[in-house]
Amino acid sequence: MGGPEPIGAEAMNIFDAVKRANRPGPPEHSITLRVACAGAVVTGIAACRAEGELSWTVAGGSITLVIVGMVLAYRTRLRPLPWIKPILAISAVAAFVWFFRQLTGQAIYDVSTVENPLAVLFVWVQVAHAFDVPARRDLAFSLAGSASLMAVAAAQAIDLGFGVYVLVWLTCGLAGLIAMWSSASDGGRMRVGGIIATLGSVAVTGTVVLAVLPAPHVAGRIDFPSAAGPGAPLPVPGGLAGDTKVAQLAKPGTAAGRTRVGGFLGFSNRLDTALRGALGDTVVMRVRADRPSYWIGETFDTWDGANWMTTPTPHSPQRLEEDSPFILPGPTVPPATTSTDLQTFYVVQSSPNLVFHADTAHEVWFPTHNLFVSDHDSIVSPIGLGPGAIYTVESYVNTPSTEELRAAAGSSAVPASILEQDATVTHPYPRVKALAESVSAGRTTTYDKVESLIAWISKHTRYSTDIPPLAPGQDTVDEFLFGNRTGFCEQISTSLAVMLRSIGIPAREAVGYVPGPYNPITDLYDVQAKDAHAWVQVWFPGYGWQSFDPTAVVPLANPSPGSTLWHGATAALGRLPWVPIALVLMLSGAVALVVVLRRRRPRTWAEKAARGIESAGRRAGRRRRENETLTEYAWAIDQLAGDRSGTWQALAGIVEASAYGGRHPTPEDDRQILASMRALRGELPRAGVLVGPGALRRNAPERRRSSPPPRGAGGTPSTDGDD
Amino acid sequence: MTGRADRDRPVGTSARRRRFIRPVRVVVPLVSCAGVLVAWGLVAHNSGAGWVQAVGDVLAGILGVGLVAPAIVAARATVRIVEVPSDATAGLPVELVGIADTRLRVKPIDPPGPESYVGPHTTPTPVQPITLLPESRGVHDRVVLEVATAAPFGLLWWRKTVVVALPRTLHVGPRLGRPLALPGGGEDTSGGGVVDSSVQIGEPRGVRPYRPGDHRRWVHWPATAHSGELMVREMEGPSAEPVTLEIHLPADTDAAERMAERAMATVVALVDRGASVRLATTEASGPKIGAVGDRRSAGRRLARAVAEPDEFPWADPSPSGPRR
Amino acid sequence: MEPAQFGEREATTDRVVSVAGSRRAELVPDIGVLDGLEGSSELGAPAHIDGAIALGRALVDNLSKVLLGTPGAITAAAMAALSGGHLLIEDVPGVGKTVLARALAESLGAELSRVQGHPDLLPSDVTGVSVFAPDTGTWEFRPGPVFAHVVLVDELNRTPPRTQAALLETMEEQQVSVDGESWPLPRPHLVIATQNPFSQLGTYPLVESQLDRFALATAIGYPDSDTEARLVQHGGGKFALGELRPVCSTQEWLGAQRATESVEVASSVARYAVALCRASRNAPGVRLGASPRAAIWLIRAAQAHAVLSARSFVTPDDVKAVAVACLAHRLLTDEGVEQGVAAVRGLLDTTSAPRP
Repeated sequence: MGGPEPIGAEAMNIFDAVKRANRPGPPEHSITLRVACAGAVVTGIAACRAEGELSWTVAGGSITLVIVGMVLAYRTRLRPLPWIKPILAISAVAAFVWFFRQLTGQAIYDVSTVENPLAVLFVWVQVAHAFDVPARRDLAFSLAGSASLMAVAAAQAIDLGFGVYVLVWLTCGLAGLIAMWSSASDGGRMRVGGIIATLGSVAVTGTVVLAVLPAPHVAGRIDFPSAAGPGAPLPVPGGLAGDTKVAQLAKPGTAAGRTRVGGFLGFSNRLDTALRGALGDTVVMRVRADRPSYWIGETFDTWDGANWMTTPTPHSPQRLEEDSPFILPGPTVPPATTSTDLQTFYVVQSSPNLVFHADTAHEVWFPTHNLFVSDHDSIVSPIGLGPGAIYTVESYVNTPSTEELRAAAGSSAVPASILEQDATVTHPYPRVKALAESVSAGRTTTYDKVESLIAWISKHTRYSTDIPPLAPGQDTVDEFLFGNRTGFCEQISTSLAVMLRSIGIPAREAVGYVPGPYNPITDLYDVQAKDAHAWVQVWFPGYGWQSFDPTAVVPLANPSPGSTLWHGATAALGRLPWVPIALVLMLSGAVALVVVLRRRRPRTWAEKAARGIESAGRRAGRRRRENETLTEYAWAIDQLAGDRSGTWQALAGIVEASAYGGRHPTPEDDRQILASMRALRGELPRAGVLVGPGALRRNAPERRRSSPPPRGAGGTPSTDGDD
Repeated sequence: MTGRADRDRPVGTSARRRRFIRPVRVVVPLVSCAGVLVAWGLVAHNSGAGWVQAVGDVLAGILGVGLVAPAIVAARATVRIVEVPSDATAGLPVELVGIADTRLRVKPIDPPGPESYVGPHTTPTPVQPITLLPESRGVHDRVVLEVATAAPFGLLWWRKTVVVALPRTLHVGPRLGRPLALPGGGEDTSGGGVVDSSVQIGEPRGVRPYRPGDHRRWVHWPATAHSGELMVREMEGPSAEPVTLEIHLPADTDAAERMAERAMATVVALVDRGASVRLATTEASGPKIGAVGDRRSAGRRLARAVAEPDEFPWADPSPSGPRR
Repeated sequence: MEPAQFGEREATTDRVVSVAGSRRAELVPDIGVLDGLEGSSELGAPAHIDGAIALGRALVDNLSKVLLGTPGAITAAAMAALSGGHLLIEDVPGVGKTVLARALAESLGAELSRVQGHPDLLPSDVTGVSVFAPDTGTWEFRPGPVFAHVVLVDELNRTPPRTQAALLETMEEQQVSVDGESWPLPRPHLVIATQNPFSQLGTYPLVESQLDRFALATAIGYPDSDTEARLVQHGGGKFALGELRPVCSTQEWLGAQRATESVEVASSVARYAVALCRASRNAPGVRLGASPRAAIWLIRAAQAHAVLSARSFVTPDDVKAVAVACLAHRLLTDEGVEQGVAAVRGLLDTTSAPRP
């Protein structure tokens, strides 16, 4: 990638390559390349700043230094300052020393308040390098360095806004690369078509790679992202707050309920199924996870006919007194079908201080000194959670197959504590029990019973969020199963849980979020307020609590970026109004057909050749005017090509002799003429390349000197004969 | 050789050769690109961040295009030679004007020459000629060029070899060697074969534009003044008896080159002395005798001259001296 | 001959031949020489066209010797001679109108008769008159100056309308009717009329129907300063005029006219000519457009132009080249010839040219 070096160098070994690579290249004079490189580096620094990895001071100072360094390097490119290199070497060593001291120093809890030492190190290296870029290869290193900055920034980016930085950086980078080629090929100019083809192939290749590669998964990190955000400590340790800003205990169904952002009324001590919340599509949090799951917030075990509650126990919630990561007192899970799942939750809106998780949480990274866990597996943070809060949870995922669940032992194997809490109905539901028994009659296993009840519900009830509030004294389950038979997840899941309990199967209510739409660019699930959900968990001996969602079928397949893109594209295609489109297409096809028929294929050779001349001129940016004869037009093309011998005019003369004089060349000549016409076309200036005001000015004297358009193809008779 | 196809082609169209396309010094760019991608992949793997992967995909696209696209550009590239002088001398540079449909690095292989860059002639940069440095005499109606391109990103150069037809034949005359000893006036045996330089060597027949190689003495100043360009007299019917130079080239290429150089020097010396010279050589089509009026025509004749086939009876390896 | 030297000499050979050719044409202007030039008809025109092409070229050469620096007028004159149409020269006095007419007559090997227009000119002064011959006792027709191959009418607009009408009638009819008897004019017959568009005093401007009779109208224009200097030095061209030799006989001239008529006109080109004429009827600033006769003469002039361009077929460029000369004077405009010329230029810019 150095200067013009001999092409002929054949196979070489790696040492030669390294030696050659270390030889300083010739000074680089292209200002475009330098500006593009500086732009890429500055964009990288700005992106790091935007993702909170650099302080304003460091970012501003380094941007200034990079620009100063680039200008200095350009001005001294012919004779680099001798003292620059030692200074840069010393500063690089200092940077590394600082970096390792940072790493071995105190533990880093919060990425948003502490400058990321890696980003600072990269910026330091870039700033130092900017002072020493005399040659093209050094600038290429600068470009690569800006890529490392972008990588560091991209690792923290969680929303599409980062795309602006990416676009700017790509623009600078591509401009720099093209300038690199231009400079390497001694002033090559890329045509507009070439640039479009390049961008197109880059886009296609990038998209194909994005579609083919699986989504990235976190692997082998020591420290997972976690940040406290702006949350304040709660007045009651282990209490549940509905919101961060008001660090107060949540009161279900209060007046703030309907308007609260992310306001699922269930995230509190009580789930009142008589109330109706209104859920928007505001993004509540973003989740990076290995697979989509139900993000569980809390579970309820006590049902009183209108409310789900938790049974208070003396040792709940349990206070975990250790530093991050917290190891949760997990249930004893058989290891056979268990895998781990890592989720990072980026809180976007003020939300309850529940720590969401998939399946059974095992380990939590959260930058506080304590954490509370109830014996219903709800995890509660000691501070309110607001925008900027980040926590990471590692869960045990237990996904037995249908057969395994069928084979699981029946209710007899359920522990007594579970049976006592979760298989009892607080007041009798004779109708419900009769219904459940009749529906599940003949089913022997727990799993089949659950499935049969779900099938019955889906067959006999309708889903709607638009149902009237429950009148005082009414029972949610009775109303849903025997009344209007319409409801949403709360009614549906509550009914299933009660039906299960009535026939002795331990079941409880779980609330949380469904995974939310997957964003293939950020690789995050964007959980919206309307993704709040309630579902049922059933205890299976040997497998623990298993989730069943009677409300909807949720895609549990692990999405890959490719399939998501494909799905999105087909969905978008499916939404298109095909009938009007087909009509428009047919209509325009008919119009095109008429146009083609009218313009018909050239009938004669002369017509074909004349079109050849016209298309050549068109490519050169000079269309034939209506009033121009072919010869006049050919004269104009000759002028454009700077051809004073009149090649195109001669061609036009042959064509006109054929068209108007019936003097046809032989077929062989025809072919040759057309062939040379094509060859000549390559010599013409392309539209937009030469036909600028400067070019016209250059050509002007020539045009004046050459003769005006001739009156005949054979040239004017020499009337001024006294020469 | 691929000459036949070229010959059938109408002059002026390009000779496109989809020869084997191969990259130039592939190690450094390939290792660098792979290194960047691997580093990026590690970051993506460790952070699990979607943006890292998304940007990395575009980066992979850019590097992939940067490495592969030049191959496509090189495969499609065409070069045409639009201007070539008709005569050249071995060992001296000769400049051709070439036009390519994209910016290319060009290195002449046969005849050899230094690297240069050609492009569409509409680029604002001035047209750079392709310089040949022919090492020996010969007749060329095509040149072999090695063209290379790194478009669009300059990451990796790909090259191919093309054979390009010349719009007209290039005659490379031999260098000027040491002239043969010319018989002087006092030498009896030659019978005074060398003409006195003061002798009028022809009757004026007309004037024509000056061409390189014409003697200064022949410039016709009135005509020059009239037409504004340098005109020279054209003579006909040399009055002096011509000197005939018989050249028998040996089969060995180097020796033949050497002899052609000496022959050239001899002709030049004779012409400069005003003699009219006839050159007897063997060409591919057979023996040829004809007058050479100037350095250029002598160069052409010697460029075309070949060693005699064995069946010619006078297979004398040494050049004979000038004779009447 | 060895190929290299042959190739070398090719370029010079061309030059020499062309120089020699023109020199010989100059020295020995007979038709035999012209035959020698037939190789120069570039696209292999039929044989009888070659004569016309050669004649046209020689004619232009000849005229160029006496009329310096006015290629347009010379072309127009040559086109008039080849197409058989009459020529109107509109210009200020003293730019060589008469010289052009005389040179043309001289070159064509024809006698020239000259009529000087003035207010007292009677029709019979032009056409001829029957006089009573006392010795034979019969009326004898004495042909007027119009009975010549080339007739020069100087300052046509100074003759009274009656005389103009009589003259223009003979131009159209190609004969003179006196006392019920018709006297055919010699053929070929070419009338060159001059008029001074700027002198309005004591003139009788030609009406449009009369202008329509002239196939071509041209201005000569002032020469540039160099040419004018040479003109003064060489005595206004009269010096060369005396030396002019005819390039053909009148018979050959007639033959060339026939050949010119046979020049091929493609239907698209004819349609183009008609389109120009039709468009002129709606052109802005034009009160009366070109007549169908104008279209005919447009094509015939284009044929002559094709011959002068050494071609045996008419291209749209020929039509464009002759349009101003052929149409401008026929358009009746508010502001005279200048506006007519501008209108024809406008037509050429707005009418779409035929595509092959």
